[in-house]
Amino acid sequence: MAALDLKAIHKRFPGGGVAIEEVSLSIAGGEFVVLVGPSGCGKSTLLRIVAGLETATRGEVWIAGRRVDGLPPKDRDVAMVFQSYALYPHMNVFDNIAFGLRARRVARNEVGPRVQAAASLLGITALLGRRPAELSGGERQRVALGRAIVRDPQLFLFDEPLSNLDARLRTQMRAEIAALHRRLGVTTLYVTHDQVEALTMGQRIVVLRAGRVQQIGTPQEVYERPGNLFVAGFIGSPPMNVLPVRVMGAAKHTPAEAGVDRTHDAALRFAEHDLGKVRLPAAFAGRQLLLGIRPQDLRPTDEHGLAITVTLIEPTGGESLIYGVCGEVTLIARATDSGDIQPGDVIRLQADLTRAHFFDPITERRLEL
Amino acid sequence: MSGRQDLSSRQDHRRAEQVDLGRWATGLLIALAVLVSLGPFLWILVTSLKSPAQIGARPPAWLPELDLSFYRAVFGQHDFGRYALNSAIVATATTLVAVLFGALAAYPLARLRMPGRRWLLGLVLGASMFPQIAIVGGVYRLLMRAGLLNTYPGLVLPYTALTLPLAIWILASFFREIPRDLEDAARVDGCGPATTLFKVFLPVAAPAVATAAILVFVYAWNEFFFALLIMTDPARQTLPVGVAQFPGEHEVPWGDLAAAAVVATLPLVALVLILQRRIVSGLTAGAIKG
Repeated sequence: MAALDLKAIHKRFPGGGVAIEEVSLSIAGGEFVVLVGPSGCGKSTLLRIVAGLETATRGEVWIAGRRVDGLPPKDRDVAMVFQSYALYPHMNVFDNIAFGLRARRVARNEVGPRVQAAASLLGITALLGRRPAELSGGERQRVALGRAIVRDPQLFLFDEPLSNLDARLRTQMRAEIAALHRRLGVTTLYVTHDQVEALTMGQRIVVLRAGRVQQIGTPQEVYERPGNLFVAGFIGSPPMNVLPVRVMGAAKHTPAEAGVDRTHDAALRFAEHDLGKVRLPAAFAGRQLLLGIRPQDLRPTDEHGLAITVTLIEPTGGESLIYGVCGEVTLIARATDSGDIQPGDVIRLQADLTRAHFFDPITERRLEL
Repeated sequence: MSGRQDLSSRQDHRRAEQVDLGRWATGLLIALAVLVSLGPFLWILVTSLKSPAQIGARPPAWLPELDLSFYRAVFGQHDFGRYALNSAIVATATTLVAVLFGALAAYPLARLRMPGRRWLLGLVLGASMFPQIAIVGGVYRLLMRAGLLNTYPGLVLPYTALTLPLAIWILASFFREIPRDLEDAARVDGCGPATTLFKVFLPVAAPAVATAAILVFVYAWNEFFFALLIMTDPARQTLPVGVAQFPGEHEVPWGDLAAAAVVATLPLVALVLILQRRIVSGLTAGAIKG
């Protein structure tokens, strides 16, 4: 029995636009799943449909084996943490955390200990008497977490909770939320637009775009075997480089015997440049493909390589990002030491083609080699 | 060098003078406005504290002798206490009913996405613009048929009807400003719509509730027209009507009237002072980020 089951969720806005298109998802008990995608992709809407704050046009929502899509939020046994914290301003921290328990008529003598337990877990016991207006952003976020934790629900829903925190606090809270999940083991659905958060926190990631699921997988799967061009470009920072290439090689191979795919070392050409050789199935010969290569697999070299004109050097602490153009394509390369490279220089890049991905230029799907 | 310094200091001086002049002018304007607004009341206050001899004095006496004889007359000779009690009951009841139903109406009007919502709100406000004289005949007959003449509900009902639009408008405007996330949080935490309204919306909207309450109370307390027509039994008459009956056939007891006016206004002043702080909307600070 899945902790959360979404079956063919479809949501159309009153104006006519489609927010979510046939999304199905199954989450196991205790799993931490991240919904990630650019703004407007429908991830928050999906989360709100799970919470019951919005209703789907079609589809079913099942929580812990119970069909809930007809039920109001309060009957679904879910707790939600909002991007804006949404703390009750007229109550102190204790009452904020206790609010959900009291609304559900939890016994008076039980409320106190439970609130205290949640507060101590989050390190905010000292703040219980204060009002939200007197707290810092990080403290307010902890109170919001406390309010969710104390309910001991079936499902945690996080709606971009860290977006309003400064970078440092964000990193800290990320670790805390992950630790909290390890400790409490509650099934969690976490929405973010930040793919770094997704990769570091999720046990599984759901990449969304324009209301459609692009790929569902572990962080490693999504990063190393992106299903399509969008996922490849979205996951990973800085984004993957994509170049149109032509697979050279004799097209006059004898037709492969049924079931046997012959591979050969094919040369790749990008515009007028030779990129090197890579082992590809014979069927690829002569085709135009899209090559995806991550910045860290593109390194400046003194030897033969792809020539680019440098436009920008971005030092990022331990290493540098080198932006350059080759023809009409902008490429990003990562180097541990950019040396004396200056904007305007022409340098050569060597691609580690063993780590390259190939995409069909029409379907944009990644080609399995 | 020094020439330029002279010039700039002269400019600064002139600018400072202009600023002072501006501030003086503003201050004068404000003083004038206050005088015009409070003037009549101050005069009544002064009059109420005069000795009977000072009342008709020509030229008018500006400083009262701090004589309380008129106050004693008000409570002794007239049935002031009775009038005050009736006013208190009617005004309080009206305020409670108007604010309660106003909130119940304002919540969906502010929150639910329903077609024609703006028209509905406009209609509600339009209802308050009816000249009272146009409806008083119909209202009287309705109350007569219902046997509500000379009863408290007989006043509370029309007053509520007349103040409800204003209460709804004030509360709906404020409710609309409350972030949706707060409502969502309450829903997920376990509140139905009613609980959300009473436990979350109304407390957060306290400034608006206070404002609406004050306006409704003041209206109900001061209302004369309907009270005059509906309450003919002296035992049930409200302050405005009761005080209006002070003047006899031959003489007008200015002193008594002045004292009565002051006493009648005191509760309103007290109410505003008490609720005044709530009208400052610092309450939503901190609930939502930033």
